[in-house]
Parts: sequence; C-alpha cells; structure tokens
Amino acid sequence: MARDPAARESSLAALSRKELLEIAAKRDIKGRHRMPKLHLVSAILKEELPKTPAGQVAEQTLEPAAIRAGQIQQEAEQAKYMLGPTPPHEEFFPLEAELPQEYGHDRIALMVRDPYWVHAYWEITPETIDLANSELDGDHLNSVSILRIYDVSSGEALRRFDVELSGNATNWYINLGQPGGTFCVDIGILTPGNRFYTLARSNTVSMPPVGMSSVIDERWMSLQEDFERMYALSGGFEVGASSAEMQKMIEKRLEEEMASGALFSMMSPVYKRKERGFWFKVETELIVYGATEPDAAVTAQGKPVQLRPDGTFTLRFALPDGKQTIDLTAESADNKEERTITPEVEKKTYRPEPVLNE
Amino acid sequence: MKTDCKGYLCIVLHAHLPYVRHPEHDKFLEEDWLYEAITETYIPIINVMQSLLQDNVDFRLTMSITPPLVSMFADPLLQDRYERHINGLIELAAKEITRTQWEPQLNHLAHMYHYRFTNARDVFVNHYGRNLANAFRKFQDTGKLEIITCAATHGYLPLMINETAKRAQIKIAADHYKRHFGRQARGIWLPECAYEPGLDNHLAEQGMKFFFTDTHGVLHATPRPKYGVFAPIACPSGVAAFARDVQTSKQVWSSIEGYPGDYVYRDFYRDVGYDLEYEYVQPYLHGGGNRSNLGIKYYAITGDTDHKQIYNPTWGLDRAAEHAGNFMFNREKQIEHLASIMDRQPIVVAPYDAELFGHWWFEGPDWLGFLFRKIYHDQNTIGLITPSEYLGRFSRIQVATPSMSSWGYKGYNEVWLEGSNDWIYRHLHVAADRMVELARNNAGVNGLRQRALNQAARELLLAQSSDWAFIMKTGTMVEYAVMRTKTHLLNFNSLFDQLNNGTLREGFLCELEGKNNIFPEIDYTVYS
Repeated sequence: MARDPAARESSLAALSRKELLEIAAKRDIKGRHRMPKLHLVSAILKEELPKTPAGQVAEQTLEPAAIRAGQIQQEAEQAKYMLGPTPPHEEFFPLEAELPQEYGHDRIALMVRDPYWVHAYWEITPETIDLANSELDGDHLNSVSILRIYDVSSGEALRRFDVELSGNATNWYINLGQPGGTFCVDIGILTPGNRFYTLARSNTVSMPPVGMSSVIDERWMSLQEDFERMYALSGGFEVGASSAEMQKMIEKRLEEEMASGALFSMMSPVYKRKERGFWFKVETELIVYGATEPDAAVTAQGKPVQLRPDGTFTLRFALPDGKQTIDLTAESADNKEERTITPEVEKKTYRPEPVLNE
Repeated sequence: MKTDCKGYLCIVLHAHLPYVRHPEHDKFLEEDWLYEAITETYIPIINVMQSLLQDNVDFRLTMSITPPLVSMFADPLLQDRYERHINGLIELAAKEITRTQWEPQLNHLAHMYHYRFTNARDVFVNHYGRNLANAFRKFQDTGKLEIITCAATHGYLPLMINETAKRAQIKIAADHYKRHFGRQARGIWLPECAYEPGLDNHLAEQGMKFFFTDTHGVLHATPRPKYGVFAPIACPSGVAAFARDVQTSKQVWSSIEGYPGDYVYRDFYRDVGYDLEYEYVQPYLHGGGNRSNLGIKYYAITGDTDHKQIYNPTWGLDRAAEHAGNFMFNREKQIEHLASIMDRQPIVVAPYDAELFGHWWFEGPDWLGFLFRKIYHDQNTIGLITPSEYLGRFSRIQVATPSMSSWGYKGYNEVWLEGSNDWIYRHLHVAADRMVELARNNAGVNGLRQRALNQAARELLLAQSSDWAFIMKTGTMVEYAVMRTKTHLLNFNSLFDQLNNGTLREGFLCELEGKNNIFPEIDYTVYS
C-alpha cells in the first residue's frame, strides 16, 4: 500500500463517522462501534500501515498529530445532533409532494466553496434552448454546452476558460485557481464554428485570498518582520499550511474525478454494505416481585418500596457475580404484624475462550 | 473588569439549536436536542454563573443565544415537554439507584444523575419560571455576561446570494433580541462564523457594533492587520471584527493537547439508552420506541478500548481543575509575550460551541468555573473582557475588510456546500427571490393575505437553517434534515402559489401557523 499517509489521513478525516465505520468493518477493526471519529481514523491508519519488521519504527509519522482540530470540533458539533451511536431509524409522515425539478426560469447561480473552487447550478428552460437552436440556424448540430468563465476582477470581463459539460449535468464544481479574483460564468452553446450563444449569466462572486494581504495601510505600518511575527503568532502559518495541503488534496481529487469521468457530480457514492464483525454481551439482572395488602408498608434493604394500587411490587437489581441477600419486610397498616422474607442469590459467570471455526 | 492587566481574554460561547417543535406528535425524537442541551449544557452553565455570583467572583463571558433557541425557551409546549422529559429522567435515575445497589461505583453515579436531574427541574421550574432566557437575561443585567444575537434562523449567509434575504435574517434577529432581552443587540455571532465582505453593512444598519470571524478572516484582511488577530479590525462600515485565536482553540480541540478527550473524563457515547435491557428503558424512549441516548452515562473515555472504566466524578473534577490551570498558565505566557511586542493590550478571543460544554465535554462547565475562579484569584496578567467593553476602552481601531471565512472544516464554505447538500440551494435561492417578489407585489395588504405572507417568511427562514446542510454532510439524522428542508420549501411554494392565484386556504394556513410558529411578530415587509 504505497500511499502518502498524510493525504490518506486527510481523506479519512473528511469522511463521516458512518463511512469510517464501514471502512473499519472491512478492515475488521475491533471495538469500532464505540470509537469516536478521531480514534476510528487512527485505527484505520494503523491497520493500513505497511507491516515492518519488528524493531523498526514506522508508526511515528502516523500518530494522530496531523488530525486537525477542525475535525474534532466538527465531531463535537455533530454530537449536538447525535441521539445515539446508531441513529434510530425514523418514519415521518410522507411528504405530500416532491420539490420541483424546474422552476421555469433561466438561471445560473454561482457560490464560492473555498479560495479555489466555485459551485455552479443552473436551469435552462426548453423554450430558451429551442430559441437558441433556431437562432443558431442549424449550426447547433455538433455544438456543445459549455460554461464560460470570466475574470471580472479588473471591471472588464476577461475570458478565462471554458468547461465542456457532459450529459445533462445541472451543476458543476469549478476550480478557478485564482484566490482573490472576481468571477462570473456564462452557460451557453459553443458551435463547431466557435460561435458562442449565451443562455444565462451568473451572479458575480469574489474568491477569498490565501495568505496575508499585500496591501498596507500607512497609518498602521509595521516592519515587514513585525508583520510576519504577528502573522506567525496569530497562527497564520498553520492557516497557510492547511490551505496548501487543501490545494494538494483538491488537485488529487480532481485528477481522480477526471479519470472516472464523473466531474459534474462530486456527490460521494453512498455505500450500503453490511458490517461484519462479531461481538457478544451478557448482563444479568435480578427481578424480585411480590404482593401484600395494598395498604401495607414494604421495605427492601431497609428502604421503602412503592406498591402498586393492587398491592404488588417489582424490584430490579443489576446482579454482579457473588452472593447477594435481599431483606424484604412487610408491615401491616395497623402496625400489628410484620413479616420478613429474605431471598439469597448466588451468581457465577463462566467465560470459556472463544472458539474460532476457520 | 481588570484594567491594570497586560492583556485580555474574551471567552465566547455560541448557543444554538435549530427550531424543532412537533405539536403533531406526542413525543418527537429530535426535540431531545433541546432537552439534552437544557439538562447537560444550559443549566450547568447557569449554575456555574450563579455560583460565581454567589462567591463574588468577578467574571466576563460572552454568549450568543440564537433566535431559534430563545424562541424554543419561550414556547409553552416545549416548556411542558421539557418538564415531562426531566420528570421521566428523575424517575429513571431513581430506579437506577435501586438497580445498582450492589455495584457501588455505578450506584454513586446513579445518585449523581438523580441529583443533577432534580436540580435541573428545580432551576428550570422554580428559579426561572420555565423560560431559561430569563436566566441569561438576569446574568446580562449584572454586567458579567454579554448576550449577543445570531442570524434569525442561523442561515448560512455567504451561500444566500439574495441581499434582501440576508438582510432579513439580520433584521429579524435584531428585533427578536430587543423583544426578549430588553435592549439593542450590540453584537452578533454570524452563523458558523461565516463572513463574506459586505455582510457587515447589514449589521451596521441594525446598529450592531461587532461580530467574530475565524482566525484567517481577520488575518487575511485587506489591508494587512497590524496586530494579527490580537486586536479587532473595523470594517469600512464601522462594525468591528474580532478573530478567533488558534492556540486557545487548539487547546480544547487538538487531539494531543485537547482537554475533552482526556481518558478520565466521562464518555459521551456509552449511554443506558443502549446499554440496558430494552423493556426497562422503553418507557423513557420515544413514541416509536427506538433506542436512543437517555443521558445516564456510566463510563469514562478510558482510551482506545472496548473495556471502558466506570467514570469517577472526583477524578473528572480534579482533571478539569488541572486543565483550567493549564489553560490559564498558557494564556498568561501568551499574553505576556504579546504585550511585550505590541503597543496596546492584546485581546485573545476564544469562541466555542456552547453545547461542547456539558453535552459533549461533560466536565466543560466545571472547567469554565475553575478557569474564571483562577483568573480572578490567582493572577494579574489576564483580564476577562467582553467585546463591548473592549470597544469602549479602545476607540482607535485599524480599518480593514476581513476575508471570506467560516469556522467549518477547511475554513470556508465546503461543509455546507458539497455533494450531500448542494442540491438545496437551487430551491432556497428561488424561494428567497420569490419571497422578495411577494413582499414587493403585496405592499400594505392585511387579513388573510398578510398572515399568509408572514407565514411564507417563516417557512423560508426555517428552510434556511444551516443545521440541515450540516447534518446532511455529517451523516447524523440525515432523514430528518432532508425532511425539514423539503417540508418548509414545499410549504413556502404552496403559499406562493396560493397567494399568486388568489386561492388561499385558511385551514392550510392555520395548520402551518400552529406548527411552524417561530417569530409570532414577524412582518413580511422586511423582504420588500
């Protein structure tokens, strides 16, 4: 398994706990159901390590050092919505309708995902497409749908590049590769004769910059080294580092997506795999129940017991190994009679070694 | 407030839950988000503040309490249901005391939970009249707590394109704050700490003075911030931006230095709702009877093993005190160093999700209490401060525009915009545009039409909660998040059609008004 451990760790860290559990099940990692996300990542990494001869230190680069705080924070934030380790399945009233696929208006919208990537989605009505086709007058045969990206940072629209759309895509993630720039996108038809027919134009978005600004306000001057020192103390280099790492990851993912020809939809496939892994748990409880006159006073181990209206009662105890005695006393309402019953219980547990049938 | 210190520490807790209220069901699983947070986070934090007040420990804390949370606090149905919920837990804890009598360590914990639940009921019912907003308001009035607001339904603003829709999220929040806390909101926690240049204009319009960004929001501001994240900057609109300090967040979140993962602390995952025999816990589960967490948890984190140790609360408390000491020591060193190279007192801003404290990190509220006590008694380097106090002391602030940023994983918008949740935006954006269109085409209407327009605004706002996209991404309770997003959008679309076709059905409207009753005083003209 020749993988870059840091990259593997980042990609694992980006998965949900559920997805990690599935991987852990494949790798047969023991105790996975009880592990928080962080431990799952390190357990999987450990499992994927190339096996090295004893004495050689191969694990040190894989300690969870690089698992970023952000992941743990996300797990804690997620815990807010977590009502159990295996989310209970719920039945809701079925929705009366589904959301419409189309709204009947031409539109392309652009949203910033991070300093490099934007997400575009669009809707083009059949009427608009018919109109385009008739205006292109036969030229539309063999033409392609494209997204045309414009850099509008300078106030003018400079054409940057085109993205050819596959199939009937309705959304796309685009790497603009230019943090700090301002962009808009046209969706349209490009003819073999290189004629471009615009179907819709997007809103304009500004990408966040990466790193410290080069603009300096004279009234808030510092020496270059002071700026750098404050930047470092503020954790700037960690922010920078994670951005660089992020870019690397994104590029790698892009390559993979290109290879699989599925760029238009980065929706991660949902695996429904049955988890393997075996466990067994037995607990013992002791139930003591009885009945007396409804107005009698019953105590167990000296503490009052709540009777039901019909005079019955039930007590329940976690039963550890060993001998237990329970003193039960009932006293009649007129205080004239008292009866005591004392069951004694002994519990032993045997745990033979597990049998493995190869 | 200390003024002779070398620098300031500003602790910010962001308290938020999405609006979940289902009168159509007797018991509803996701309402537990609120009930758990009340028992495990909000009441413990209230108790910590109360004990600090009693012991005359001067402290400063900043909390954002979001409009949906305040609305749920004030809702009579949810108040009744919380009382029923906590009564159930008290009953279960009492049974646990009996059940565990031959296992002393467990028995000790059963008593602890019984006490905590009984106390929670007492605080909820008797001290604050079943509305916890009263508690926070009380502490704000002492000057030790500064409550700030958040967008109306925690909508993720940078992914909202329509400026009027963004403005409505801010304006409704500002009005809501005034109604519930009796004064103007001075500051805001932007949902998910997500900022994009220009958002501050909407804040300025509502008279807000400050907000927060993640570290790189201020650090990558234009022009370059002279003091890094250790002084706020002022946006061109005049609103100040305070930035999160990396070191303080690492101390809580890092897998190595991070406090909440300590092995002696209580484990979040093991819960009697799953561990005990089904019929025994069944009465305390939900209508459907599926197993879910109940909040009685007996084990310590212990480590990377299936064999968890039974939790020892004394050790947990000791460790929390130790961690508070460590946190303070590190802040002293950090602030001493910063003060030696800056020409003004630095401010270190440490924001956290409030629900981290108590719910996820069981000992978190105690840690906070220890930290405040130690800062008050044991040192003179650090002073605690609120953003308003800081802005009152330092009027000269560098003008710069923060960078787009959020506190989500990877620092930008990806958590809320990726394969699992990107489908929602084409619907949300259309709904926002339609709402603006409705408001503009229906100026000055009244009666049924006015009610329908107000309800359309509520449905849009509820669909916009960033929680739904977050849940879709992280894979917990996804079905619910999808259901909520679709339901509110479908409700909105129906109202839109009915308003446009003149086919308003009062029965339908009444049903929605009863179910999705957030912001009773909403005025749809906020969208015109």
